[in-house]
Amino acid sequence: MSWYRMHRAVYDWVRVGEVNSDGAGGADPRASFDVSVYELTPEERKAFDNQDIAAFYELGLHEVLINRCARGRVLQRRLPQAARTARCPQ
Amino acid sequence: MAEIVLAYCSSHAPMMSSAREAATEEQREHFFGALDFLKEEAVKRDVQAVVVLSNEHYTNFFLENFPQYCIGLGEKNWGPTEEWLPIDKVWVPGHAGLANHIAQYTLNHGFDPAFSHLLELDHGIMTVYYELDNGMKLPLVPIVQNCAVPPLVPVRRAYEFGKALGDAIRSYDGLERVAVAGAGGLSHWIGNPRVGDINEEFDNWFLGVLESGDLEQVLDIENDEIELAGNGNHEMRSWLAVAGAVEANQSKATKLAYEAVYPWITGMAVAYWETNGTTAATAAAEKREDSLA
Repeated sequence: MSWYRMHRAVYDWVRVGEVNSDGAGGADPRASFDVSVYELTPEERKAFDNQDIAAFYELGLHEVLINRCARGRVLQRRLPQAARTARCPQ
Repeated sequence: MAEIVLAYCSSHAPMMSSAREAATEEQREHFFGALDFLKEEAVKRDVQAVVVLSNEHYTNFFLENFPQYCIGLGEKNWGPTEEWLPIDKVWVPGHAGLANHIAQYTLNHGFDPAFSHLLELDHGIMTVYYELDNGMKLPLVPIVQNCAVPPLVPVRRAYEFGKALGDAIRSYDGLERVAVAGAGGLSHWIGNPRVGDINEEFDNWFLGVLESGDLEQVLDIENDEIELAGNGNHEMRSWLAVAGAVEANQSKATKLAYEAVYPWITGMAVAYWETNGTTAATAAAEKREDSLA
């Protein structure tokens, strides 16, 4: 839908698996992430569904966010739930 | 009044913590040896608090509101935020008195920094802070800058902010000995096809400028020229802010280490500025000896 919405979707996806994520019941907090609310274009949605870093780059996603997304994608596979949900105990 | 008794800058690639062994032994000895030297100096100089300038990585702010500067005013801040960074996640003590003084002083002197009573500290600050105090007990005033999302602060403006920061610290009467550290840079590329490149020529030129004290060579550098050393090189603003924070007669830096660490995708450097630390540290040591006598 817009440059901003694509950024917001990726940012929210990255953040949901980082600080302040609940990780309730040991579930992967990113598994239930609902990207449909962001009204992405088909190209953006495809990039998101495939976690396609190159496509994100071509679509103009900010490079710092690409970096965060890449790390998030790798870490989703590698880190145990306890490590993924390090949180700020506000 | 407070003195800046220690002023230095260091690169903050997160791999310095998460993939430490990926650098060669010689590189680790040089880079961490420099940081160990500064840690020892901080102890010798009896540093009471540290101000660390780093940059925002979409950790605290996003596109709805992205301040150019944000000062952490809180009694404590949380970090590191990265789940994978092998540094204990702790409440890092702040120093609300010094932080509020810096905020008010800079507001009174031509700057409009944002403020936060709870910053989440990522590798940008935590890697360097941890190397300064492994126990993470030293009161920390974090300042995050925008070094990523255009429009960016001109480099000269970053330097001028550093000057105001230095004056703010020197006009604070709640402490005597404060350290200032800049964290980030040097050359690196993030999130694009050039990730992994390092521009050693640029890095050595930049360090040479800092050592010469002739900062006019770099203060009007344009963003596209900065990016010859990567989009991550915008973090050089932290280095110039620290150069601004030290007093004019101490403006020549000393390079302690430079290593192009390709596994960390970054030109890793450490430099420091001579300060009035010797005077303050001597006074502090004499005071301690008197109290023990």
